[in-house]
Amino acid sequence: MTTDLTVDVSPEVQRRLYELMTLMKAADDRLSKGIASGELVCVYWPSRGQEAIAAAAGVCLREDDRLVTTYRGLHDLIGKGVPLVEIYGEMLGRQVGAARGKGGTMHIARPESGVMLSTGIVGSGPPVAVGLAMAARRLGLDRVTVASFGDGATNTGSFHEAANMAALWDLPVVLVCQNNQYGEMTPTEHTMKIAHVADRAAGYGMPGVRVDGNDPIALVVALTDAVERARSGGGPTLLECVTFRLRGHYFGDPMAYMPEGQLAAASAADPVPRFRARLLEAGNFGELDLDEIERASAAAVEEALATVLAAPATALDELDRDVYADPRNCPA
Amino acid sequence: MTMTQALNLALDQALAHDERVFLLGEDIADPGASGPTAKLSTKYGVDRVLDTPISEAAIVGAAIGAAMEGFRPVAEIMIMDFIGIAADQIVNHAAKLRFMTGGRTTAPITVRVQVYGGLGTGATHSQSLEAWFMHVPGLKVIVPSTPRDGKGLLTSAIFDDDPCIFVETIRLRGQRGLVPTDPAFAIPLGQADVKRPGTDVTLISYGRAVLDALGAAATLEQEGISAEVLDLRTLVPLDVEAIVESVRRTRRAVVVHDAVRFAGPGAEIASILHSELFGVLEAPVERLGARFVPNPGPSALESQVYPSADRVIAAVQRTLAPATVRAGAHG
Amino acid sequence: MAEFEIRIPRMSVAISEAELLDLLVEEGAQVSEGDPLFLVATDKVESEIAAGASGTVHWSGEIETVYDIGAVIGVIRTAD
Repeated sequence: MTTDLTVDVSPEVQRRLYELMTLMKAADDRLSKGIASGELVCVYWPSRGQEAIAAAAGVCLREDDRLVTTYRGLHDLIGKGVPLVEIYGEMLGRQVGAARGKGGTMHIARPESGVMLSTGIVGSGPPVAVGLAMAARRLGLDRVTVASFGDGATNTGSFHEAANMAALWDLPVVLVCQNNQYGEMTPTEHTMKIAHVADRAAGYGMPGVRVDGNDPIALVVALTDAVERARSGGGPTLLECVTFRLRGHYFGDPMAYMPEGQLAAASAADPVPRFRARLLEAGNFGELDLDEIERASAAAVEEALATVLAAPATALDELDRDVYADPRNCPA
Repeated sequence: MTMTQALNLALDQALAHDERVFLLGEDIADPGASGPTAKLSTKYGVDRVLDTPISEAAIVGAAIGAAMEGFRPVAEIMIMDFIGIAADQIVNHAAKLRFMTGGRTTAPITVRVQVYGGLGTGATHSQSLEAWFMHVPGLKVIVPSTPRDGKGLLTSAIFDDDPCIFVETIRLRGQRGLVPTDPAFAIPLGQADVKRPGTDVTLISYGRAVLDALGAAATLEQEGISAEVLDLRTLVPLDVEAIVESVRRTRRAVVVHDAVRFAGPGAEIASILHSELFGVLEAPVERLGARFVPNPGPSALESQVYPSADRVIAAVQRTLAPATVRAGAHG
Repeated sequence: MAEFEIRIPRMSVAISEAELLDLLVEEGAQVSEGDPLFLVATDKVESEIAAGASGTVHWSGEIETVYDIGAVIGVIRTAD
């Protein structure tokens, strides 16, 4: 799909997309730099390279729309409006984290922003998204639930069960597959016979759409369509967003499995500089405007990190809290 | 009222009194429904009693999603052996959400499962897997033995703020007993119940095996042995206080359940008793459970797998034997 | 003369017992294979059970009593 900046989205949306993408990139870059140097100690599954998808979701979804994402969720969380302090705080085990630092990198939720679940289990999110969508319908609300997951998740039985159920009941769900071309260390083409994840949609009786996952404008167009269909009672869509994972499966992944040249080619297609070039070409923004957005994103990241590092570590008594509603139910 | 009617009553009243409650599962709506959900879709509509595809992971996952939004879903896993397919959702999401999100999201679901043991259905349609879930922090595990307990405990489970695994037993479906019909009747989770008082030995049990314990106690009474039968009713939370209090009085204990004996719930209970009452116990705690084999198809073989009143009696007699005899018997 | 045992049938997987609800023929009556013979109830579902042989019916079971699956509740004495 070829998109035309000037007709598909307004300059305000273009700006918002670039703000979100640069914030996501800066958040990843700063974290990566900190972990690599030993300044920050935490586990991290990097989303670098997949920013366009999360930014598009950020501009297409309402605050009360629901998001179920995965452990590779930094970009998704930012897109949906989770404050960076809560994300970094959770990753680094501080009381300012979304769960006061006790849940860890993989498990960030913030219902106030519509983020109901980040799952650490590949393929486990879509069934929960089905339930969130059922709840919206029961409550008479027109909110939409987005389940975000990778290509690998579509090989699980759990995904299949949920996709079938969402289609069967015409639930207001958008299944957003961030196809980053690897399931952990294995290339996607080694794990599925079909070339396009979107083709799976036909098996469930729902529309399947494949879109350039590095093109935020194309993503906004496709996502707007899918979200509108879900919101108006037209049922779920499987949206395959083709992108690339620029830092491997986990932070520090040596990516020994990656063929020579693949990373270089993917880096050349990095969605963030690519979008910058496109914005400049379209003429609504100048170099100085975009530099300023990047500076603001970097500053926001530094400010959030400083807040987190100044915050107290997760309290030890958190261990005994939230296992059950009533702590007396815990066996000794 | 039978156990089936008691469970049906609990579901019926929960649906009637709280709009947040809905049921989902395979073949739970009329006319395909049998057992505890029969007639409920006719009464409350298929929006509140939902037939689902055969998709255990999505059934429980959907229940979790709806519970996060304030609903009180009751999911049915038709036969407990199928719970493996849903285990990821139960173990990795339902059990842990409250902790992982610092209380920001919770999953107060009830998962009803049915144990088909003793019906000749073979190894994949018969297992008592409650010990699996006792091992997962965040879950509650409930196994009623009487219609009254079934009604009272299911009502509590549905409205409990934690995820509950509610284990029903097909062989108890026909059990009859008085059940209060007051919708407010509920039995708090975590309270064991003395089903028969006694002074010489405590038979600690839950679920179907309570019948074995009661049968044994009746026979033992004729031999002049007074056995107390303590029905745990919930395995998590476990009523340690009641267990220790009873055995402190009787100084002998036999734990009996249909779950596999090895690493079964009885192991935890015996360990607690040995720690708490070392020096008080007159004999080591005896444990009875299913044999460590996949359940066979033929009834003649399957009946050898489970505890029975006779085996409970034999275990009681071991606890009553002098220490030297016991050493020989176990040597 | 042979005897065909009349047993409580297993009408469902999920049952271990059933109530003998009613006898549809009198003691000593003649039946043909396939004739309605008795009623059982499981979980409020009633089933009519047909005679498995032809001959004279002799009951040993009592109505409104719960029996285990497979329990003998009578015989049909056959002519051969």
